[in-house]
Formats: sequence, C-alpha cells, structure tokens
Amino acid sequence: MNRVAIGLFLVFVALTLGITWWAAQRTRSAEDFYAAGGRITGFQNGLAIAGDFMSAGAFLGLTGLVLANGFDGLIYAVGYTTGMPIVVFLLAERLRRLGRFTFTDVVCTRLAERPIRVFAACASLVVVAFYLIAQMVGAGQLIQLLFGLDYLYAEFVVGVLMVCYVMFGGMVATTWVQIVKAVLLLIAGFAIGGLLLARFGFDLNALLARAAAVHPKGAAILAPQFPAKDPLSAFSLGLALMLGTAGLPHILMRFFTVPDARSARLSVFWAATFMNAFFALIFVLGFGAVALTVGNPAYVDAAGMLRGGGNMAAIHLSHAVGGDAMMGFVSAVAFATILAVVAGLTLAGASAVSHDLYASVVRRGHVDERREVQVSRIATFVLGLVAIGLGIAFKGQNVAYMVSLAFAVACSSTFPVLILALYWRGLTTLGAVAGGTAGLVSALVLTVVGPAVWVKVLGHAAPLFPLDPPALVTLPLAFGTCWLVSRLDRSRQGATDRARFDAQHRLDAVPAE
Amino acid sequence: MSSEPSTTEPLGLGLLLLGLLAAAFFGFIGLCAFAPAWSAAPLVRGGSVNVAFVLGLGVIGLGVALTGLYVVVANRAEARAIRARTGPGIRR
Repeated sequence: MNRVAIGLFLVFVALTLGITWWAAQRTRSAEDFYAAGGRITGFQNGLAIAGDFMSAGAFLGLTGLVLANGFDGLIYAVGYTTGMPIVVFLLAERLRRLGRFTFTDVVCTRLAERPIRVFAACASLVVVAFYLIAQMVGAGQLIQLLFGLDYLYAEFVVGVLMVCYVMFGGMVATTWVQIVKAVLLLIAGFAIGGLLLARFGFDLNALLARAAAVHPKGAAILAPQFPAKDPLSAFSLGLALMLGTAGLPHILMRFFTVPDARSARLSVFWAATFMNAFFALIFVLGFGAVALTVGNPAYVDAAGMLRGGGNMAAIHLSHAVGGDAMMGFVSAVAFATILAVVAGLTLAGASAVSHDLYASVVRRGHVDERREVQVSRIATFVLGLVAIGLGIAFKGQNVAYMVSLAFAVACSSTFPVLILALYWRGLTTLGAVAGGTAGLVSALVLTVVGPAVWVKVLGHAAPLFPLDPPALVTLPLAFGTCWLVSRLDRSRQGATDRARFDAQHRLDAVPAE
Repeated sequence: MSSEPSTTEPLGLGLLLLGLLAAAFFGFIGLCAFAPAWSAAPLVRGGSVNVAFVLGLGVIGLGVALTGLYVVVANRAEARAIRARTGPGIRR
C-alpha cells in the first residue's frame, strides 16, 4: 500500500467530484447544460470539446499501447486526431443549418421517426458498450493497482461508484465539468512530459535510444511494424479512427454549445489544438514509459509484465518521474475523468432505452415523465451490471484498442446514415435502416469472430475473420446497402423522404418555375 | 441559427481539406505499410528520431492547421455575407 499516493488520490478524487457537484448545481436549464448559459467563450468551449475527446482511456491506453507495441501504438494516437477535423469539414455547417445536434434529431428531420429511433438506440447501445468496456478495464486496473484489491472486486467498486455517480442526479458532463477535466488532463500530461524530458536533458534522441536499449523488441519499437505485416488491417484501422468520431452518439451534441456560429467555429479550432497537442504528447510519454519502467523491478513483476496490467504504463511513468505524490495526482485525474466519461456514456445509453425505445417506440410518445425517468433508472442499473460483466470479461485488454472497436462500429453504422441523410436526396427510411443495420450487425459480428474477441477474449488460436478492426469491409457494406435499398425503395414513405430533403435544401435549389 | 445564409457553407473547401487530411493520414499509413525501411530510417545519422515520427507528428499538426484555415475562411465568408445583407450601399 502506497499511503502518500492513496491519500492524494482520495483528496483529488474528492476535489474533482466536488467541482463536478458544484458545476452541476449551477446548471439548471438545458441552455445551461449545453451553453453554460451562453456566457462561455469560444476558447472555453474548445476546452470542453477537447475534454470530451481526451478520455483518461486514451491517456492510459495509448501509453500502454506504445509500451507494448512501440510505434504501432502511435498510429492510434495519430488516427484519433483526424476525427475532429472531419466533423468540422463535413458535418458542422449542415448540422448548424438544421439546428439539430444529435444523430437521431438530424436524421429524423427527413426520415420516418420510429424506425430511425430504434436503429439509433441499438447503434448507440453497442457503441456505448464498447466504450464502457474500455473505461471499466482502465478504472478497474487503476483501483487494483492503487489499493491492491483483486480485479474482480475492483470492477464491482467501479461499477457501484458509476451507478451512484449517475443516480446521484444530474451530475452529467456539463460544459464546466468538461473544462475542468480537460485542464487537469493537460496539466497531468504536460507535467509528466516535462519531468520526463528533463530526465534526459530535453534530448528526445537520448530518451528514444534508452527506450530501444531496454525494450525486449529493441530498436524495432521505434518504427511502425504491424502495417507492413498486415496492410489491410492498418488501413481498416485508419478508416475507423478517422470516420468513427463523426458517428459517435455523444459527440455531435457537444459540438455546438456556443450560441453564435463564429465562436462555435473558433471553439472547434481550440479544441483541435488542445487535443492534438495532447495526442502528440503521447509520442513522448509512450516511449518515456518504455525507457523508465521496462526492466525496473518497481514496475514490472518477475515475468517482466507490467504490474497492474498493460494500461497502467502512464501511472507507473508518473511515479518514475514524480514519485508517490505525482502518482496519486495522476491516478486521481485519470480515475475522476473515467468516472465522468462513464457517467456520460451511461446516461447516453439509458436515454437511448428510456427515450428512444420506451417513450417513443413502445409507448408511441404517450408516456408520463415519471415513468420515463423510472425506465431510465432501471436502464442505468442494468447498464452498470453489464459494464461490470464486460469489464471482467475483457480484463487485460488495452483501453485504446477497445475504443478503436467502438469507433469501427460507429463508422459503420451511424456515420453512413448521417452523411447520406445530410447529403444524398435519394436516401429513404428503408435504405437508412437497412444499411445502418447491415453495418452495425456486420461490424459487431466480425469484431466478435475477429482477433479482438475470438482470439484475445475467447482464446481461440486463429480468428475466423482476419481484419482488425473490420471497418474496411463494414463501412462500404453499410454505404452500399443504404444506396441499393434506397434505390429499390418504391414505397410511399420513400417518396416523402426524398421530398423532405428537397424542402430542406430549397435555399440551394434554383427556383422551380 | 436557421437564419444563417446557406451560401456561407464552404462545402468545396471542406471537401478539399478533407481530401488533404485523408491523403496525409493514409499516406502516413501507406508509407508505414509499404516502405517500412524508409519510414524507420533515422532523421539524422546516429539519431533515434526517424521519418515515421516526423510524418506522424506532421499529420497531427496538419489537422490543427487545416481546421484553423477552415475556421478563418468560414468566419470571413460569414462576415462578408452579413455585411452584404445589412451594410450600406446594398442594391437590390
């Protein structure tokens, strides 16, 4: 037991939760929730958007990925930075013009509501599940390492905390919470990076040389390895990371929290700056973790495995450069931000069940608010149980890797439907649901029979499907099915869908006379 | 929000920048995949920082630069459109 680290951990977690609670108290209306009452600047909102993206999962997972696989892990870091600009270039203006910021709302402006809600809820739940796995594994390992608890119990502790956190009421990821989270993560990251580089006289070459000298794979870790062995998976991963962001259910919502378009765009620029700086930092932190933890008996066990699991590289690194105090601080920041992300995800999942499935589809809109809240609570509880189960099943998986699977599902299901709904007149409800479902189911099935689950979780020797992630197959499949089914759709609803697109884009069209 | 003129949507620019970023990112992956020896070559003789580092960080930097460019162009276009609608000397 490390008393200093645990003490600081508890203090900082309490402090962060306190700030969260305080911010939640100040948030009363939906307006407050998204725009912080319209008082925040583009710069602040940029930090908030960055806070949504820079999960502790990315921080822990990417550092761990570099520790295990060297430069290959950095391909994930580079990929994560390409998602946000795509959202800006392709979606931002259209969404703003429609005045709708959630996937379901956008698509329902022109397609039939109920089938789209069912699809969107299913897709959200799958993406949320993959994301939750990542966060649960990260948080579980952190608690296990810090308190010396068994992983099984650690998962239950995290699960219970997560359900309490959500049930506690309203402690959702408000703009201020996201700002606090982003600032803390940036401070932690840059503090470790600075201390680390100081160790090596601010000479990156020296740091890398040391990393290559101690790692069992030697100098090979400094260069990309897996793309040359498996180019198709590399491109598939690139596709998922680049386009997945645009399909994540909770991202678009956050996207326009500033009332006027000008500062909204500015905030996007700041968000990209902070996020990309953070991911660039992984280049240093990842190899720093290699240089200072590999072969050091304080951080690895007799078999040479990292104590506490592969996702703990960043935590050990913080200890190596800053001692117990730094470790306590970084653990607390990581844990508190994981809780915030988990809460946001759970709420997104619960509202998919209570609002989209129950209120709109099962009860066809005839439901009183109390019943909907009840369903939402039950859904939260069930999601908590599911998260604990998945966290145990996926024990030892890399967090950043699990997040990339969520991206693969998002880019094969919601992304194609969203893009086509915004840009293609021909898309019909039938086509959207068929294509989105084809992408969702194929991405899910191919992930399960692929290396991610079939080999790493179920322990088979070889995967039934080689691509990891499957986006290279499932994304074209989703687009193709959307197109084909929409083309063949002769229904009345299809005609309405096309006409509604024309109505939306009247402004662009030449006056028909 | 809906009162914003549709003509300020710089879709062409968006697609161009999207193409640039995609080309850079998949170019990076492609070089890693098909020219591993080249991407592993050290930048300076005897150094440990190799070409792949520079390319990877380059893609990250490019993302910020292109986003910045888009924001500047879109904001200017919008300001122009607003001036054209409300400013003096407008003729119908």
